Amino acid sequence: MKQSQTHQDDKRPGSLSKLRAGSARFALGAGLLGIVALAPAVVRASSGSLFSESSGGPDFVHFNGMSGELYFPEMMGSGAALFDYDGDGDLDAYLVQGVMLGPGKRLADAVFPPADDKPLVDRLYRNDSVTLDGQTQVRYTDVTGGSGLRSGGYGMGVAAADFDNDGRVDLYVTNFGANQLWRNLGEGRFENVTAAAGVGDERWSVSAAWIDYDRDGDLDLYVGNYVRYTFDNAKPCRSSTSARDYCSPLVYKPDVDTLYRNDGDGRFTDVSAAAGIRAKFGGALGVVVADFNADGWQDLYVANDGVANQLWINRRDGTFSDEAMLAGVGVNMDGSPEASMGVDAADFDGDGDEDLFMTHLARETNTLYINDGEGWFEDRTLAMGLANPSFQYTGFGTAWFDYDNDGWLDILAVNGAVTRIEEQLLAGDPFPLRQANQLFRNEGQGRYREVSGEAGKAFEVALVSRGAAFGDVDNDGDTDVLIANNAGPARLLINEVGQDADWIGFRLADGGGRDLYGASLVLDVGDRRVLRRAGSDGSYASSSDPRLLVGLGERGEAPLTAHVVWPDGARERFDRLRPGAYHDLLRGQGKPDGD
Amino acid sequence: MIRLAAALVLLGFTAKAGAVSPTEAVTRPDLSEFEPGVRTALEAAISDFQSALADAPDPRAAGEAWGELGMHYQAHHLQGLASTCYARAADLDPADSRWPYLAGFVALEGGDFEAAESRLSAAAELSPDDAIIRLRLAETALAAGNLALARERFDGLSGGPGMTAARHSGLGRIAVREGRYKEAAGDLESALRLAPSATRLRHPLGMAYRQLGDRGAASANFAARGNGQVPVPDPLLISIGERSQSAQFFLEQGYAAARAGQTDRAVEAFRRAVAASPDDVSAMLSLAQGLNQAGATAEAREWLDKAVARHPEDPVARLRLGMAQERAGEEKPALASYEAAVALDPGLHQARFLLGDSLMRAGRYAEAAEAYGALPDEDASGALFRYREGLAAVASGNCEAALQAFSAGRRLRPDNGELMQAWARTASTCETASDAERASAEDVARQLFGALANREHAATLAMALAANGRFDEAADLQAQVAGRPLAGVADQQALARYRAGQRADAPWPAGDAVFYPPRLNNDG
Repeated sequence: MKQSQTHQDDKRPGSLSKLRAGSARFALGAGLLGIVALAPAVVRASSGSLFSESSGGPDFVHFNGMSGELYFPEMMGSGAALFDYDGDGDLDAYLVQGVMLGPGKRLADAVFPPADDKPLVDRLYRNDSVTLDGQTQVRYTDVTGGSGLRSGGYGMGVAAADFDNDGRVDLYVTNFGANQLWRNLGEGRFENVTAAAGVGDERWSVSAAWIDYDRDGDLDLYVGNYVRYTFDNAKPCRSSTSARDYCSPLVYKPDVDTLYRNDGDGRFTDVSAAAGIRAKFGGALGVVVADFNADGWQDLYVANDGVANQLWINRRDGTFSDEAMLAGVGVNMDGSPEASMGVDAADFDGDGDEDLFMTHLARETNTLYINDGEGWFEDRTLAMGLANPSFQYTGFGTAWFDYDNDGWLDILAVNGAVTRIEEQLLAGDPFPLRQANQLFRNEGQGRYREVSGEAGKAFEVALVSRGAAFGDVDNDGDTDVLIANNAGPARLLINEVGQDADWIGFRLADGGGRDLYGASLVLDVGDRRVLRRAGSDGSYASSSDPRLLVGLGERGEAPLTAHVVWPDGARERFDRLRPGAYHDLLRGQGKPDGD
Repeated sequence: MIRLAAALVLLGFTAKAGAVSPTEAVTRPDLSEFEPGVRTALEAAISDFQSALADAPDPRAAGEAWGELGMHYQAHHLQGLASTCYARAADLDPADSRWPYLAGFVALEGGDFEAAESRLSAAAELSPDDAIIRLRLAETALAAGNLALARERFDGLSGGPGMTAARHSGLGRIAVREGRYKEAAGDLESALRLAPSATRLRHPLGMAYRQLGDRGAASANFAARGNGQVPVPDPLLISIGERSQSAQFFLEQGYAAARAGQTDRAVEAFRRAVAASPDDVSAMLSLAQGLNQAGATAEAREWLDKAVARHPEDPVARLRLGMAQERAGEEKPALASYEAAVALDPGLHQARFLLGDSLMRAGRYAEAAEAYGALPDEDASGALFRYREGLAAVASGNCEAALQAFSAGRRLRPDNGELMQAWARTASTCETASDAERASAEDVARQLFGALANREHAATLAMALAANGRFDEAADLQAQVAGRPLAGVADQQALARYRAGQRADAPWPAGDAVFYPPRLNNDG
């Protein structure tokens, strides 16, 4: 068990060689949202890249099992997880794999053959990065073989959490087919406990999220299910050009989602009907957990493909009610339901509540909803400068994260089309869904600016991206990204600039070493209060580092005070926290906090 | 897989065409997997283009040829090719506003707002009085987030009711974005008065009311939200639509018209879909559905018969035919159609549900219970499935199974009165019901009676009282039931049983209307 101070005492010496540009900062007064804004200061690596692609990342290549039949699931996967399965303080990786799709189809029928001779199963990678002379060499080693993990079915996504409170992070894997729960036994071994736990939802699941909705101290599980697609009911679809194409999800019946209550004894009970979440559904692709109405209870937001989204407000009695429409987050501001894929919730504007961002189909826009603090939202996509740049892209994995550690949450959207792109089709591409990814910088004045063009070569590549997991894989104090590409290689993007600014990191956990998902942290940074929430949910079919990173800009080394609200509503304060390091804030070790 | 190789068609361009390159190239897609009608139409368009270009006496005629080809590409959603053609047409005939307009429209649809602004502005310079061009310019400014310019442009729109509605719609949506909620509500209400079918506007209107604190008006508008938009006829786009030979295009057009409540337009579009692709079962079924909605049931039936004859393996065709047969009172053929649909696609819930209903009406209750029983709780109609399953089980004499079904239904819809009543009556009369269930039945029956003291609820409560041995109270209450108008023999019999210290022996008398699900009518 790590102690309450630090994996890393100092910033990487290597960072000194990098440029620190635009060091002057000016308080501009109240911005559009009543925020004290900071002047933009792009911190850039000497190479000129904000991110670089690591050659030491997982050597995973996704196999989508397509054979020319245009089966729906083949272009929907898959996801990735960044999680610490061996408890050694660095982020390991899990990547979700596909198999050959379709009755009677063999590998020889595959349009894209498997990249290697490895079995077509999900793969676990151990982070074996080494730091020499202050430079971290990122290296991931495939340890699937000895882990006991043996995924079944056609993989879609993954959600990591310690469901049995033993201090080890377990995995829930979603599939086109029955899902699986893998219990972490320690020593690098996992055991399939799906049947005993009763969580083998057989619907087509994509994203899942862990949530302690009943505040009983263990994590319950929300499984977002997509549509009722089978090879028997597969429809022949055509694009508007009349050429064959992938179907719209609206061609199929949407499937219901599932809420499993953790009974605390290794078993779960399906409480979907009793909890009320079966009352509405619509082809879920993204799920995110947050306390949207600030009542201290975790709520859920479900991003659906092509129909209105749901905002499930926790009624504190084991049930939820969908308040998306009145809250203003069911459809966009013009009243159109959108094809929502990935989603994230965070306090991007620093006003102390959870806002929403989600990715959408091309010819829609990604959408940003601002929370008014009471759980009512407004679609402010256009005003934020996020509408136009996303119009031509179909977004999937996404998150709010502060890539340059200036204190404002930026956005990454990883993209890939779902219907065939005319130009690529005409150019003879057998999988004409490729699009570049996009990075948007929060300018701190209620505006975002696309900085993909400045982000480096990693952003010049066009692939069919789906999942994206976020976390600090080299523990240098900034957020890196693992991107899962359909029929393509996983790509690990290393943040080259965040570590040059001041930062502070946290892990919110209990004494047993379990991350306390749903705990929130408020940090006093000058005249700002920064809110962050612990969890692995959000994005698309992926699971991110539950640690919290707060960018401090150029605040310096002065210690900080963190206020933590634990998932059951208890509050503690932790003082004298030094920037430039990760801190384990353990429940019960802080001071009582009335604030 | 579609073969994606693109062919370059090199076209000779005669000196007659004037100041243009003597050789021009147009990229032609591989059409091998397009619908036959689309292939033929595009091949013909390219051939016509070649001829027109070869014979073009001047650049203007050459521009017309390019523009015409672009319109054919656009009609089939090949936007990139269409855009190239319009650009060439505009080069050759810079005085014709159609080409920059269409290029601008394609750019707007594709999200290239800068190009849209530039091309539409060029079109507006050529045709300053063209209201449609000005509307597109306003939409471009709004889409690009230039609210001040969008406001100015929408404010300047004038014309008939459609354009006025578009003006209010634009101004209202801008006002919502700018937080001027009172003005937004005013403009959006005006737009909806002029274009009631523009139900999509209900959402921004609801948002405006929400922000103004009128939660009731907000909720009402959110509930009325649909996909209808302000209809503003665009002659050029209509003309392009007429060039389409894609069944897919017509189907989409028909679905959009149907959603907007424009049944005649929907039927017309579906007819064109069938004409473009005569063997397309979706087109035939859509046409039949449209005709049925338009009241042309005889012709609808003809198309359904054709669809089934040509595609006997299509479960939806079987289902739709069954529904038409049911509406026509042809119970046995309808039942057979539903059986065929379920056999072809066991997951087709609507067919299985209607099969259950048909079996109930035929008195085949055990089979009906089986049909309903195979339907999942998870469906939006899960509670209804369980209700019907329970009724079928009651009718077939299996009250234990009925109790289970009603209980499952109540778990899905705890506040549903019909399920509460069915459960209470069955728990009160089923021999295998436990004492706890009988006691609970009385609670539920009291709840119902307390909410609405009608004859049905009184009879249910009397039944539950008798089940718990309180025969005097049951008889008193039942006497009131039996004394009311519409009381029947069964009510008298129940009264006699209670007076004799006996429970009721069935939740409903045999042959009660509750066991006879209503047949589909022409609205259903």
